[in-house]
Amino acid sequence: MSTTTSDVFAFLESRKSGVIDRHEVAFAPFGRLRRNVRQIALMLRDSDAADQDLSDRMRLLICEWLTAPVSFHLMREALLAALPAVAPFQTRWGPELRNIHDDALNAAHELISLQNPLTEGLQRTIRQARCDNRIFKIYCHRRARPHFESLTRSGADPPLETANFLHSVRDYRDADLFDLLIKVGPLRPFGWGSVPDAILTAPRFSSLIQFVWSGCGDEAGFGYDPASSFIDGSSAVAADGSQAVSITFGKISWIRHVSLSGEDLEGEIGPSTEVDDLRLFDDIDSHGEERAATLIKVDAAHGILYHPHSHVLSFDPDSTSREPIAWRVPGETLITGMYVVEPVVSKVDLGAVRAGHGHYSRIWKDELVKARKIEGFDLLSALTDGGIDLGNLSAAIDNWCRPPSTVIHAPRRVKHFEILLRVLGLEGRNELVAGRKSVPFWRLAWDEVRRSRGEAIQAGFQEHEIVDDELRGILTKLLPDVRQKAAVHERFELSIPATNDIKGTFIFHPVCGTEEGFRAPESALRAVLSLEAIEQWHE
Amino acid sequence: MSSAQQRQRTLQVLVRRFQTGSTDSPRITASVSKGPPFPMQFSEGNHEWRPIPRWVQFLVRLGYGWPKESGARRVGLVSMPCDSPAPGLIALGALIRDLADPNANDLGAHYTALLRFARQFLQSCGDCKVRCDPELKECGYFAESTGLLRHTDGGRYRVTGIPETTAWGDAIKCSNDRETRWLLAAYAADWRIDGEPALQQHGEASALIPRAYAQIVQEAQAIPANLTHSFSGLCLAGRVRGESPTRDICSSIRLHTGDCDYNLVDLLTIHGWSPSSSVSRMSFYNSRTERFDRYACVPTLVVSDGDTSFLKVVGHKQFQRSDVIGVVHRTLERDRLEVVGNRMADLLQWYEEDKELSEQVPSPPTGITVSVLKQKPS
Repeated sequence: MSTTTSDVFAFLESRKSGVIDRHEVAFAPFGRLRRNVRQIALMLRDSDAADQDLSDRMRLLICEWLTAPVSFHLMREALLAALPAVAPFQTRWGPELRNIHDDALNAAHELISLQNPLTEGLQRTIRQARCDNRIFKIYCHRRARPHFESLTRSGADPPLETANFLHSVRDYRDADLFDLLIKVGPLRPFGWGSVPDAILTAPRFSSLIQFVWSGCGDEAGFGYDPASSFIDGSSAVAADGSQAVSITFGKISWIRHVSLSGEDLEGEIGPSTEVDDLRLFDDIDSHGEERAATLIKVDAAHGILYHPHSHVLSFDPDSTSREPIAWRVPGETLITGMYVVEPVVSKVDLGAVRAGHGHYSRIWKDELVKARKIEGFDLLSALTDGGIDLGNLSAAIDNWCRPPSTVIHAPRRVKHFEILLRVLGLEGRNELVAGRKSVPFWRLAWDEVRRSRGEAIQAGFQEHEIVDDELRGILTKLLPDVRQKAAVHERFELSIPATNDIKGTFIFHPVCGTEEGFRAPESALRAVLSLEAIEQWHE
Repeated sequence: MSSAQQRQRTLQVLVRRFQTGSTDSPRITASVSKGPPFPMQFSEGNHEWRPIPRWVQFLVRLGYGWPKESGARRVGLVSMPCDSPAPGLIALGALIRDLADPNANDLGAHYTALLRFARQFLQSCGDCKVRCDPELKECGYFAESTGLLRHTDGGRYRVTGIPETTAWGDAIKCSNDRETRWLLAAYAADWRIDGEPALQQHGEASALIPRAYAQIVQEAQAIPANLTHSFSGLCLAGRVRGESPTRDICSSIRLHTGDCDYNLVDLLTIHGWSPSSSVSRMSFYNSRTERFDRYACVPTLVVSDGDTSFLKVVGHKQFQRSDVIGVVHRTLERDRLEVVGNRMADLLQWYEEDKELSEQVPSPPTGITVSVLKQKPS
């Protein structure tokens, strides 16, 4: 029987205060491994493509280790699988990096005979909950689930069941009331190991047991309530604090007990070495910009991710529909049986679609080449002073000067790109889009870069808003043709009649299904991608 | 007699008929029970009957106590701990509040609305090739006029003309394949736009049942005539998935007193939701199709169901002067919560916290948070 609103209120009225037992675990050998892997990730993050991949893999490893009870021997295996063979990197990496690499492997090797203290704590918690007949659930990333399942694999404990896991806000929303929520990692609304704010603001359980590695603080502002947080943005969840803290959300109160445990025989772990890796990586890479997304499946192998509030140009083939062509919200008004309409327009004075890989890049690259040749102008210093903090900036500039090919060589981060164009004097330059709207040059150029990277077919869609009405008007006039094609084909295309200012094609993708529960970078939205690739952003 | 004088006389006739009961129908004798002979019971999702829980009382009271005609627009946000029928309950409270308001009926503006409907049909919609998107066509209208009117005798007619003058004053010429009739201002109450609720209910049998409303808010003093007249000044904006999800969750709430059961769906009297009453005291805005359930609708209070519905309503041109109470639940992704919170934060440029109202509203039960903003004096 599903939980009613009255059940939820009866529970909230009866629970008085909930309890958060936060177990902070310090373990020096793991700290060493974590520190070395972090350093590799940081040192390689602005290197060439191969090393950037390695940096990303190191980052993902740490994120996983901090938010799941990964056994130490699996950590070592994962590290060995991720790091390259010794010979190639000896020639490319400096001695410092090589030493860190060796230290990381040594630290991982030291750990294999030891048990992860998180594992012990979790096993104890699960056994106790079962012993007390308490209904418990574990909130974790779908891919972290095997690590939790391994906790009861020894045979002494009954295995964990599907009902013991929550992986998304929808799972949480649909869950009946229960006694205990178990979470590994800090409380954060976005990124790896994220949990819904509702666990504090709309609890369905009485106790939360949280296991965190030392240094991993809960995110300030966690526990967002739209009716109160917009006035008082301060969070009741402090990252640091005393051993027992009372926390209140509206009238929902929590008492948090913090206990410290672990082993730090050599006194290695301290404020200087304790780094909040999850926050650090969020700050420096684009994954911090991941946003919730809804998947529209367009066939058995492909789909498109949209922001949940996107308005998507779409066609409803239902003959009784009053608005066959309309902007619809994925998963809400855009549903199975309809079509997503992807406008591929090629000849309109619209920056976002004029890219053709190189229109804007030629302008700023010319300026960049010129700037390097100006006597007395220290481009390197200007960029560094401007805020580009790349260790190998000179090499990066060489790369950015290369003419556009299949990709446009440019800074990886939008912030750096903006700085570059500012230094080149293109900051105040605007372009007229569709002959009407003035758009900053740097934005158009950045969209061009994004598209060249294949990040999104419709990147820079802001500019499309200008012609949205026109597109919809054209489609409405084409409605008889659209219906005719939809009756015969699953996926089809229609050319825009030549009489229009906008030239191009409409691609109609059938909506085969919708699914919530994704978090993806902006660059992955609105692009037709394989479901395999999309799966990586499944929460 | 000038046209203005004629209209004034028409209005007086309509108001008199409203206050005393139509000359064509028996006088309204329904009375409002003051006290509960039986304590009202509540059930959700077909669970057992129980006293009305505090969360329900609070939400109904919030709607009931929402101020009318203060001169400054208010935007409220109610945050719930789970998906719930809260919007329906707040709207029910506001409906009970409006039952006590002698001006809460569509009589005064009815003929004007019919005239506007007829003019729009004759001047624009009658030969329009777009079915129907006023925004796309940029014709300046909010919704289509079908030109179809229905008389209380059941006959359906199409608007065919608006003569400048007739022997009887203002009139709309209506025809079907059998006859032509004149819709006169003084008898406008006998007509309605086809497909919309009747302006008034003739006969006591299917008038609203006062006892149910009186027992939900015991001090409510419903005006008997309001129980037989439609009103469009209160609006429920449904979920963005469409009308059904809002109706379905409202249907999970039942109230019981004496030997009568009432479903929230029936009590809301939204046109088409319940067969028991032909008058409707609340309009419905479909957030999916962005259409009202009736032609002439500029509500003074809109209660919206869900985050997307709230965002649509707050920014909608037709609700610019309406108070809005948005209801969201917190078991959503952070992004969606932040979009709503940011919208409220944006409003702070022109609005301020309505501390006065916040103090008047009863203390919410654990799990509900409420924020109310009021337009700053210009």
